[in-house]
Amino acid sequence: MIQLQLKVDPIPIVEPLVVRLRTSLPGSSTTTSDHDARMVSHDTETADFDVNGFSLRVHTRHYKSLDGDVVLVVPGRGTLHRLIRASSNHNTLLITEQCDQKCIMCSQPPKKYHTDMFDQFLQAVALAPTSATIGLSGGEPFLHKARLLEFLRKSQSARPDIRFHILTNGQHFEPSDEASFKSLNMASILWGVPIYAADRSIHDRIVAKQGAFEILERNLALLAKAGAVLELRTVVLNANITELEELANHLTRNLRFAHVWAIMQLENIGYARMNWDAEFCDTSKEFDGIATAVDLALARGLRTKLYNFPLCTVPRAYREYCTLSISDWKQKFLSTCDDCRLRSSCTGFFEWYPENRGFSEIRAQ
Amino acid sequence: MSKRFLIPSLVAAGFPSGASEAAVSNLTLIDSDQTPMFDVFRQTHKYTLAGHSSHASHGSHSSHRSSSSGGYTTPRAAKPAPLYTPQTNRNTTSTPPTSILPSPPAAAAKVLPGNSATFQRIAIQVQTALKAYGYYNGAIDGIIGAGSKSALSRFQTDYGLKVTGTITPEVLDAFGIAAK
Amino acid sequence: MKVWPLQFRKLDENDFLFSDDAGAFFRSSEAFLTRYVENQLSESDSAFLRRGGHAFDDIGDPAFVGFASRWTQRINSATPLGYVILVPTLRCNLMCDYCQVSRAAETAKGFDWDETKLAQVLALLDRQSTAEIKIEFQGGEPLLRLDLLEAVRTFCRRKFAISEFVVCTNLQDVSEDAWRFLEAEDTFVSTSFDGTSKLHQTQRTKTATAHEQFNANLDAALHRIGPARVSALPTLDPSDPPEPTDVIAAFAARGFGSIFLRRVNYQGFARKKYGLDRSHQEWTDYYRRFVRALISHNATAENTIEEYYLSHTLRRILQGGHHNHVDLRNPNWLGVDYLVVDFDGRLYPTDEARMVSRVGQIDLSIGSLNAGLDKERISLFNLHASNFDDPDCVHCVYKPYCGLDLIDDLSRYGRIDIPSHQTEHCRSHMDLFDFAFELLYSDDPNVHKSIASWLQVARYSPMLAQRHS
Repeated sequence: MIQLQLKVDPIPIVEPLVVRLRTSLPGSSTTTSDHDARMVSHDTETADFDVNGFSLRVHTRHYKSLDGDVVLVVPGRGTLHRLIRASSNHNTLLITEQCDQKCIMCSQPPKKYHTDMFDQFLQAVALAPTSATIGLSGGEPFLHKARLLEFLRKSQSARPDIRFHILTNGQHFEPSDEASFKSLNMASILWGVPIYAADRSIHDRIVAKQGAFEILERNLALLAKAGAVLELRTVVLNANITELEELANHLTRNLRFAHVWAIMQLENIGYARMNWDAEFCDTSKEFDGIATAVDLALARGLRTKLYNFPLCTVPRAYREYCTLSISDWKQKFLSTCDDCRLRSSCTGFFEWYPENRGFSEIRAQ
Repeated sequence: MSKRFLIPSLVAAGFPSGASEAAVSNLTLIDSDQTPMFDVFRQTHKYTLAGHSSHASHGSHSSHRSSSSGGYTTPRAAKPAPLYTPQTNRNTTSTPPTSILPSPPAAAAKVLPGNSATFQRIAIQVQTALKAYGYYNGAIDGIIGAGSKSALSRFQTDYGLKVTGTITPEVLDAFGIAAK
Repeated sequence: MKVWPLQFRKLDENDFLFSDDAGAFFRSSEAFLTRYVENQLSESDSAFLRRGGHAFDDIGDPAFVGFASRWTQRINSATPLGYVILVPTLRCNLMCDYCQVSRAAETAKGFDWDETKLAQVLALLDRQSTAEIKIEFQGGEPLLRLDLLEAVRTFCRRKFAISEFVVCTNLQDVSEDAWRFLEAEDTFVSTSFDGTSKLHQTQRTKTATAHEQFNANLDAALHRIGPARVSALPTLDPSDPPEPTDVIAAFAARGFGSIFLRRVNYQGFARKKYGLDRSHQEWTDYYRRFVRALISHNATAENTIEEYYLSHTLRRILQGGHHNHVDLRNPNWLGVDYLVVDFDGRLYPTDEARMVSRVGQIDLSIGSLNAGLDKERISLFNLHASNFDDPDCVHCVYKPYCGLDLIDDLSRYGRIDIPSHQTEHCRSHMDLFDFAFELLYSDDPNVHKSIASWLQVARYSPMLAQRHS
């Protein structure tokens, strides 16, 4: 598992520090930008980076893998967060851990407090690799709408090449926001919004919020009118597996402005770990609930993708819709996978996938 | 063109005479806010994520992007505790990244927001100590430039510390400077 | 609840087909039609219409916006020039019975672009600001002027971010240089193959020697370039068409996955030889027989085959979009995104327009390389580009999937103001849509399998064929 956090020795900062680590900067130290921390020494266990004359000493055995990473160090903590890993397509900034929904499969259960890190995130975006895609997630990022929109505006103005993938529950927009959205470059933002069923009561029950579906529908229309590129996201659960075909009908009729539909398998973490036995749907045994939904959505021209489905759990005819969706840092393979010839094109498993309570049919192909 | 046509003109073919300029225009579906929805929806979305251009035919991005990457709140209580620690028992050696950083646009102007004053104060203490120890002759300005770095390196060498040319925890310890 | 206007058409004794302007459709009864017309919709009617996206409550509400987006996807927006047909020479080394284009003898003079014309073509391409271009080389036989093809391709590869090239060749004479040209990844071959070897020889190659040469070259093309970049189009005589199973077998044997059935066009030399198109019904019957044979073939075949235009029609019915075929789109803008440059430097809105003009029926050119595009004529053509307000189309259940074909009307009737339902374009498309919906509502698993493969999806979904009682 790729580590997203590394131990650092104390450095006298009073505010969160955002710098870009450089282990192989071309040219002399004079070319270093103010936010580039050049590596000045390393041994087998640590590497020292020069932050305005101070050493940022990172405990790592793989210092080369840090080159170009944009990192955050918080005062009083011996931890460095790799906010944007230069070598990865799976970088996500956690905007907040607060949320107004309590989805039964939430992988990142909400917390009460919020720390505003937008200034640091803006700095991080400024330092990100050219044309990087950066995820913005939560919690619910739009609980801090004004700051988030300001962050997006400033980011797009400083770095028009950066693309954002925002995950939002779509509960916090108002008609007056349409103008704010339109003032953004909507073409470089992908809006990932979850919808779990076309039946409002089922959706509301899954997100544990009465009336959520109605607000969601209204706000999806609002996003659409603002020109948003929409990714609708549906996690497969026992609670909605029989509803997916009807959901496909709803999406292809009333939400056809969506760019893509992502049907996702469950990640055994957060609330999903608690509810795993009740909600994990073994689609390796019975795929039809998904197949019927995919059949309808694709025939009606809605691009549909399967996320987090190991290829051997999916009937051959549907494998082309699977993507390598599991983030590099939390992806693993099982011993069964050693001999599988599809391994390199397979999404694999979440680091915390419970083998004994997971798919019943995992077979090397 | 000298050629003769069976039907001598477009008018004879039923086209209205006196063509107007404005024919090639688009239709507009207007809602109550006078929003030209047609203009919004006719745009073909070309959103594909960088690095996934080979999947362009499939459109979207390919990241799972649930966060689970841990929070980064500043300490709230006296005793800081990480909000969430990803499991670390698996030792994945990631392939070394190819350098993919053709220098991005210049970073924001302000240097290390909020930290400059502290850094400068401590740097002044360090420069003063280096001067007192006879390693440094430059200005006591709190800016760790080439002179300070070279002084730090020599000091670190002589005192058997890790040689970095930067202010390390050991340097602060050696001078008895509190990093606060 | 407000219901979007529904068009309808009687299908049989019991059922009507209904569609709205965004293309959502369903089958229902006369009883429902009465309730709809008399504004007496039942609870279950309302629920059904809502679920199908046929209704909304308030302007701007989610159902309204959803409908608007689907409607928009069915509209062919005017886009910048992205598809250019080039005719670098009119000379040809074959003399087919029904030559579509008029042609000149292989040795004739004055039927090729000269240096000036080539420079003008490149200058025209250079003025385009789009990132993508598709160039189709037509003729005559374009491979007779490989030098011009090379010049254009080299220029486009440099000028455009993405460029693709289609060479429409009879594959009669292919030099080693020509093979190397055709082998490039961005280059596609489109050839004619008249369904069966026998027919191809009768209609096109004539002599056994020439025919053997074509056969060998077609095999070589499939071998060297691969079936993914080679397509073959049959041209059939509706009065004496080949047996569908023979054609399917011939295409399957060569690994083709697509057949675009075309009947001899009522243009060019063909018009003189075959006379008026009196064979509408014959062709419709043959077409259906052919598709039924395809469905039987696909039931057991490992590699399924489509009839291109039917697949295209199904995609337009179910998905909207698919504005890439100039015979079926709405509005059908002329001289906007698509342009033909003839050997003599004249510009036409479509290849059919070039033919109609060449045979001296009516001048449908829209300018020349020398004089540029004639904006006024283009505007005139586009006054009649859409079926939205065509009085013969407004109540048609197939309106959302269809479009006008001005050039076809002109070529057949010399006028654009023939009532639509009397035009061959309308009649043949009515037949086509009737057939497509018949297939969509079929219970035959073999039909389902074919539909799925034509739509390139794993399985047919019964939800596509909505019914309401």
